[in-house]
Amino acid sequence: MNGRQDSMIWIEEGPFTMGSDLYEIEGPVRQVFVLGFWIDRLPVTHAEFFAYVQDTGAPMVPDWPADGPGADIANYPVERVSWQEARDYAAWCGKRLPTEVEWEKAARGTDGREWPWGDELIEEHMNVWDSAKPTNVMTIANGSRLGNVSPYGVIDMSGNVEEWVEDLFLPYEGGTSNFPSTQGNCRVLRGGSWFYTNEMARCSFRRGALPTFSGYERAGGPGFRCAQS
Amino acid sequence: MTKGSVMGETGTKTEGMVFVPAGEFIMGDDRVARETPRRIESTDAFWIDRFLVTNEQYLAFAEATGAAHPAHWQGGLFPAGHERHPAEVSWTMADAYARHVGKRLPTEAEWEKAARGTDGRLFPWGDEFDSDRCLTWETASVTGAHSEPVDVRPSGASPYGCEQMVGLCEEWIADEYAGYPGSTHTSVGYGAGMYVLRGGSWIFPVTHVRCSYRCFEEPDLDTSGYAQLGGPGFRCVISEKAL
Repeated sequence: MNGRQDSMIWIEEGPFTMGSDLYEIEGPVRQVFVLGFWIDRLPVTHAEFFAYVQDTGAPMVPDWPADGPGADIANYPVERVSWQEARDYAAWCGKRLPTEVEWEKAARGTDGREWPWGDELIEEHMNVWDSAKPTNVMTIANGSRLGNVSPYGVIDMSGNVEEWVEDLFLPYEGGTSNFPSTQGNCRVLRGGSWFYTNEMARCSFRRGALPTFSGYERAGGPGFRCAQS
Repeated sequence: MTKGSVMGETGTKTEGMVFVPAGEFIMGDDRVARETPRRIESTDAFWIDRFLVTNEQYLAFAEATGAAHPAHWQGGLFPAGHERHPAEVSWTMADAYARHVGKRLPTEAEWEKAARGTDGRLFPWGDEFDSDRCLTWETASVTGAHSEPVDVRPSGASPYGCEQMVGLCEEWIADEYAGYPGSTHTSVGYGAGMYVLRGGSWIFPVTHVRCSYRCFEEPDLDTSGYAQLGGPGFRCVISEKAL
């Protein structure tokens, strides 16, 4: 295992522009102050999650063969993990899930950009349905898309696998969204995935899912990365 | 039924369909690259199914013609009690059904006009999302509902009276997936032999269930692997001048 300075990135204390006016659930746009924190450079991989399962006896991920993930996907982000499972893994590592504000700041920096690399939609930078389906891929190895890098150097925040964060899925203060998944029973997913078109891979996109949700066969499901105060 | 909508007469070819008059409407949305540009388009007059084609309708077609059942029908039949749920089939099956009944799949322009009327609204009922008017991820993620009958959301009707245009299941379109004329957006999916899907589904969140949202799939998608998810459904149209 590398030291934290290699596997995690320090996000400095300070304000950033959070939210978007494109969709009610992402608004309003406002300045949010965040204390400094560490966040994993990359999502947790199949190999890392399997090491945890072997050490703790935690349940296998649904799509794995009986003997665990193959070497061919060792370096791919783990997917189909529930919020509770992600949280347990993070605790096992001495870490925690990022909060929603931490995740968004790590993804877009301070300037309110739409994508980790800037305001321009660049399909080649992310693994989303727009390109995944026509080229017949599902998830891809971590770090495969060289342009998928945030201002802080955090990698793969857009597409490939959605990522759990710590928070309950609620309308932001001043937001008016009100539907069954905003009643305080869901947790937030961020970043979109290979299964959905690129709107969901925008830095401010958010949706909720029950903490027991682990996705679907052939549609994939959530992954995650860890943070540390 | 939406006030002012025109229904086909019982016993005629347009029974169960609503009328969409010829003329211009606002198509597209400038917020999402693959939906750009927002522009004025026009269609000829046409009729479109008020509801999605149901399992029992598709079964009758398959029994009459020997057409294949959807691969996810266990033991050759849809789930018990799902007679009035949408038939979830491949593009090829949907196209064959439409031809068999003397109709066709809608073009993208026809579908979008039928869904949003002429005024460019975001959702069939207006500009505000309302989870009571459609079955989307905002509800399905909590209730686990992946399907429902085609006629249980009258409050979600479009200006012309089409129901369940957004959410529930995506809908097959006649057109191959390509960039819109006048769009500068490029994508490897354009011209790749994919067919357009419209309306989003229960698995899509609010970003993906707008009238202008477009997605795509391969036309012979085998729905067997999607038993847990369901697949696209469809509705038919017929041109006024073809009657």
